[in-house]
Amino acid sequence: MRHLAAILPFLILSLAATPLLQAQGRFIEKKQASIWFGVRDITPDSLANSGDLDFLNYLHSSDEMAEYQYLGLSAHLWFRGNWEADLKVGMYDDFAPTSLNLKAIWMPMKYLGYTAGFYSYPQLLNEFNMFHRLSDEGFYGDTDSNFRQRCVHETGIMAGLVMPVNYRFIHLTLYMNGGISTLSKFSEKVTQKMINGNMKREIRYSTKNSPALFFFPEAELGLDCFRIGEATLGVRGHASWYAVKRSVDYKRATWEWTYDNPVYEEVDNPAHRFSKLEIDAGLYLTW
Amino acid sequence: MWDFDFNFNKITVGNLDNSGIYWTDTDDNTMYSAAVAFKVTISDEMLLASGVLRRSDAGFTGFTPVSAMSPEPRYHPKHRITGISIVTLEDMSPGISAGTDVTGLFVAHLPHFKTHDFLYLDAEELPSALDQEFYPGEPSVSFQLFCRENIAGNAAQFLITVTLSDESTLSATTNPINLVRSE
Repeated sequence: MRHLAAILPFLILSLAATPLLQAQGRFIEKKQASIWFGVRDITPDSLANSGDLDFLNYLHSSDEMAEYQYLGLSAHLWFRGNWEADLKVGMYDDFAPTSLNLKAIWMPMKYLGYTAGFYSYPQLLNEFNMFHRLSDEGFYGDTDSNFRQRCVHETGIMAGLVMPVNYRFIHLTLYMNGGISTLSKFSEKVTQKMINGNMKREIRYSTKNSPALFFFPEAELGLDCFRIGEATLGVRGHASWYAVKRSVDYKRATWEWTYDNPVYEEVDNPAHRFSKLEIDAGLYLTW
Repeated sequence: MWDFDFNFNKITVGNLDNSGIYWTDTDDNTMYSAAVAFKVTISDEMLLASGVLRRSDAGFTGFTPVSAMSPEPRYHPKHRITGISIVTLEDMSPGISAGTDVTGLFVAHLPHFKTHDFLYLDAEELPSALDQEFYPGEPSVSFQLFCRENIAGNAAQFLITVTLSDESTLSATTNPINLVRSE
């Protein structure tokens, strides 16, 4: 409900802006609104454990099925002067609009254009404390018995090419996006105690910015199905692939026994390749 | 109406089992050599039965609404805690013989003191952490002591002394502890 409340002002603003858009009908030549449902599959490479915790070894992924399902809403606007805007918002079952794919498009040629935009999506880091439970012999590796999970966001800016093909009722659009992104920074704490001993240890991690180049091609297919007055109802499919190679480096502070005299270390981890495949389908209305 | 004076006049020491993640009270006199731990309580021997109504200060007093008053009695020590020392009664290692002051080899935990902190206090910090203007609920205070050393011998015993602001002391000796090694 909290997230629905957050979306509500956006919807109210959109409705309030409708007369404005109508007044500027000549400025916006065509509009499209879509709703879709999709699945997201994450494929990370997992590197052998070293002496340091590597958070990217704990990206949530599964061999058997897509890790995430999402509901999405999107809008595509065709402006005069060969400009377009494509706005996609995705949400998990918490209805938080956390996946964003926002693009401005300029079409100087019929079959080729340029894009620039912003991209962000969330994913989970799960049970990173297993590193300590497995590697710190003689200790209760993490005294916190809760399931350790953290949501992190890939966020970046991008630019690229767009190639639309329209034939009668078929609309195919290919995007070749690339850009620079970073994983959101976070802090984590692990507390440890010696087995059969009094010694206690506390380790705090603070990750750094992790900028990396990403490649993000997308394909969209729309099929016009019915005409309802001035509007066209159709079905749509969309697939995308996101690939990046990044490392998550951090500062680590370790205290033993008391909170006096911490040991501070800077840790650089190896870069991981990980990719994300998304496939979604839904309906659109164009008018 | 809820303020009482009291004297710290009793000290008791019990054993702790700190082999797991959390310590527990135990009557067992066997401990792991790296997990020697004790619980210490200092209190008024007469406890609540001897509670003396604290005298109100003469003169004008501020108005305190009933809703702002704590329903819990507050016990004010006549003599404050000023020091703690721990002396080993057994050889702990070739360099630490019986009779040595080993206060610096202990760390402590004080319930309700920085409750969000996971790690220990240095034993030297204990007097200032223990010393309160008043103690809510009952005229006593407890804390846990943990030895930082992996004691080399097969036995351990300590004399724990608390010094009060009137220079008086309260002392207690731990039970003789049999030490075992962790596999």
